[in-house]
Amino acid sequence: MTPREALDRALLEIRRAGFEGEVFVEDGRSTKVAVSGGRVESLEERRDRGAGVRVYRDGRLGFSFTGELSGAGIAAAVGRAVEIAALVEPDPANRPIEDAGSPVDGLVMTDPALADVPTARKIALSRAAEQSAHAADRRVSGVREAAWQDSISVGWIANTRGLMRESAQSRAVLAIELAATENGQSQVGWDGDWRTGEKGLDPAAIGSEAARKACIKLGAEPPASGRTTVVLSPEVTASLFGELSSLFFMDAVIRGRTILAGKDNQQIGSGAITLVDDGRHPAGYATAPVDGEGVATRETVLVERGVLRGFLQDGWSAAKSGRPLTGNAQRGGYAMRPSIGRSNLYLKPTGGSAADLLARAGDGVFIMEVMGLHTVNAVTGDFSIGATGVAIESGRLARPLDRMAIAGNVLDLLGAVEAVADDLRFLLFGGGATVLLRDLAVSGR
Amino acid sequence: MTEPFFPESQVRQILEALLSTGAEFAELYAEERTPTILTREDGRLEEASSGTDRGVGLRISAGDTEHYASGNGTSLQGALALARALAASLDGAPATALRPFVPQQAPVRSIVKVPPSSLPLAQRAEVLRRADGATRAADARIAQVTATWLDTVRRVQIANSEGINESDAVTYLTLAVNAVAKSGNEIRSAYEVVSETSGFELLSGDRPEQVGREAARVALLQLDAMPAPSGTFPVVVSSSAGGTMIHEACGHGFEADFIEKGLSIYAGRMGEQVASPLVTVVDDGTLAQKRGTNRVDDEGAPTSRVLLIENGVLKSYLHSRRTAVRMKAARTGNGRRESFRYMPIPRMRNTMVLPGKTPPGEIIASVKDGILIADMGGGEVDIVSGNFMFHCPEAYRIRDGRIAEALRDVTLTGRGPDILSSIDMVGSDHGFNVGTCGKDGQSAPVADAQPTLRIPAIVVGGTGGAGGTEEAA
Repeated sequence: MTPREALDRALLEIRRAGFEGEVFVEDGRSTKVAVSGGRVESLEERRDRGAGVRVYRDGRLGFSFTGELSGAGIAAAVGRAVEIAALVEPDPANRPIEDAGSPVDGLVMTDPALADVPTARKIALSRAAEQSAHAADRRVSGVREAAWQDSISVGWIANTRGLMRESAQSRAVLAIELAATENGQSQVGWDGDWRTGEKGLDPAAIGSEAARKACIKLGAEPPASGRTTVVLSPEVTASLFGELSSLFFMDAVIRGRTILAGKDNQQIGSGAITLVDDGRHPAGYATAPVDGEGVATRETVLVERGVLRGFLQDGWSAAKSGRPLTGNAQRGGYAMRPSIGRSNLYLKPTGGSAADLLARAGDGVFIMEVMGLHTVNAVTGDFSIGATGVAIESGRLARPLDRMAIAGNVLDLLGAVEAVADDLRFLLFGGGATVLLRDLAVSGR
Repeated sequence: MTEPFFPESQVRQILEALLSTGAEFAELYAEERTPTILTREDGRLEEASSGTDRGVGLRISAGDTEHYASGNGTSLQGALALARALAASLDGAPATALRPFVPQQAPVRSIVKVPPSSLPLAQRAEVLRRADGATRAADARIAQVTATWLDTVRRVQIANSEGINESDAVTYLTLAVNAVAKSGNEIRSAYEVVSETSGFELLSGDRPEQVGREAARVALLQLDAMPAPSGTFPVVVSSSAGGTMIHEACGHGFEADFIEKGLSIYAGRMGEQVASPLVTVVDDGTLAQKRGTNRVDDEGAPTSRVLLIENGVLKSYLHSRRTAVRMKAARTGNGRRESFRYMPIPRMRNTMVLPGKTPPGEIIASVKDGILIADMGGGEVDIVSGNFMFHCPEAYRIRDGRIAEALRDVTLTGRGPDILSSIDMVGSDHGFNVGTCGKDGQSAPVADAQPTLRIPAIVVGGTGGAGGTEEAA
């Protein structure tokens, strides 16, 4: 059964059961090539096809899925969704998307040449990244994996209110994880980059950058505990703000599960913070014309010069709160219910280069990696994360630091931002730029 | 006996197709998963989902390289097509003969009395109503409750060219409650979960209410908790906290894929002292009903009790088939995969520090000014440097050997071997915690356990200002 036939079949079954509903069908192919020590360790190929259905009646909602795009598979999924919907208590906000908006034209999300990249080429690129890492620094002691990964996926969404959207995406990722060792201490280094296809991926840059990141940390010791100036690397900014995006989820607001609930139009951070989620940013990894419910993606300003201006909505939370759809329903595959997620989240630059920010920092800590971001508490805004980086002395990177903990409240963190550098890049995990913060609690010795 | 997806004749057909171009090893992994998830929020059943996912993952190896292909469905036709396509990545003549299938000596470990899937959906929803009610009834300051039910049966068949053809089914049942407490402008939350490879009997009696009351207790406690200090302190980690620390501080570093490449801080240290002589650590896949337990691993090898550290000395690593072959070590039953979509990698199951001899009360009494960790949440480790951190949702100050005020949002961070070597008191008690471990983008259900332990000095991350004390050894 083709994906389109599966869509039609699902809508037919849903109507036949006397329900309204929505069906999502995905068809994706991906490959991975992993190299270590020059040897090809693994060659993987994945084909993933399946459907997720949501059925609605009288405000009751049921979700089911199937990995078998056949008449029987679709019928079983719809039957299960109908059965399980009976358990759910009615909520008028449970209904298919009515006005999904028009997707923007002209987004380039696929590179048709990606499907034809030969395995030998993927191996060569991975090997080149590994060789570049070894050439960059003699202290590189081992490579866990230099890997090429690609995916070509198409998703279709249709509902009983007439919505029909299709979205295709191709991605190629080249990444390396390695260790550097000196005087009995080892440190890890990772770097990776992505494109819609092979073109533009630079194995030499990825390899040498991973080596640099590992080697700079060699000899690290914990810093003294105290309050200090902190500079975040673009990677850390992307990961940290990506994690903090859950504070802006409208379902969390509705359920009183975010510290930002009820703070509309209030100053929640310094004037240096303008935080934006843009699902159709031309340079973003997460860029797509529509979200997981078929809603057109758009730019949503969450924080404007420190003032809370918006949240991220999906269909349910928009209907429940009376706020606009923002195109932030995300799906983690056909077997998962859609839920709110960020797209391309980033901080707008306030001016100055990364080097300018370091110089402005004076003395402080440059954070290159953080651990335990998943322990950030959205309800209270409290966080305490592990960190690794380099001391900043008189505006210059000095000795390496690890076993640090940075603790505080998100509101204090947002208040502490003094500047966002102009080095914004869309990484695999979001938009990252160098950020300068003042007066954060850093624990060490 | 679990029904296989493919009878023996079909398994041979698929494996022979895989071996037809010169592979040295071939494997078939077929899987079906049938999760049902119910979520009660705001005092109402808000979300319900249920479905079936089936697929196969096929693997061949030649020289250093493993070739893997996965696809949806478990039809013979589909599996054969996938097998032929995968075999086409090699171009030799058949070089390996199928060995006769020999049943593995691997008894069923977890007994499921009442399969959750046999219960009417309404009865499963009723468990959530009870847990939710008990959470709210605990105190008027409980402002928000989310209760989640998850039952899954994971049925697998694993067959390979080396004589394995095992079928297995594991039932997972989880009840989780998240409570939010509110008082004035203060708002705190807490999470409590029970999860086993068990049936509905796990939630018999007033267990659903207990889970709710425990979530409420910790959320309320947090309302009055003081910000944790930051700096280096003596820390007592209670057995009630379970073993997240051991999972992060040593478990991951013992996974042989990291060891084989010399990347882990524990690589090349077999037979060396890597922890205090008081510390013995095992990873045990055979413990009845525990969340990390299985009869066989995801490569068909029997699970086992692996002695990782004995009295501080490194004794073994955790192996998948690939790492065992490459390192010429015995298989330990630790090859795991999230689903048919993934290649198996070495993973922990139920990881534990074994109990010692000191009464736990004595350990707390020994600390003049320090911190007691009563519960551990999520954590993370960098296996190369050995640096780890984890979050402690329930913690207290210890003053003059007594438990004093509650502390909020404590994290501990340190370097695995340093912390393990410094442990100077090990309690006679033992407590479990459950979790979902992430590695290389794959998740795996695990459990961890430990007795009460004393660490004389470890970095505590908190917001309550710099401080720090150190316990004399």
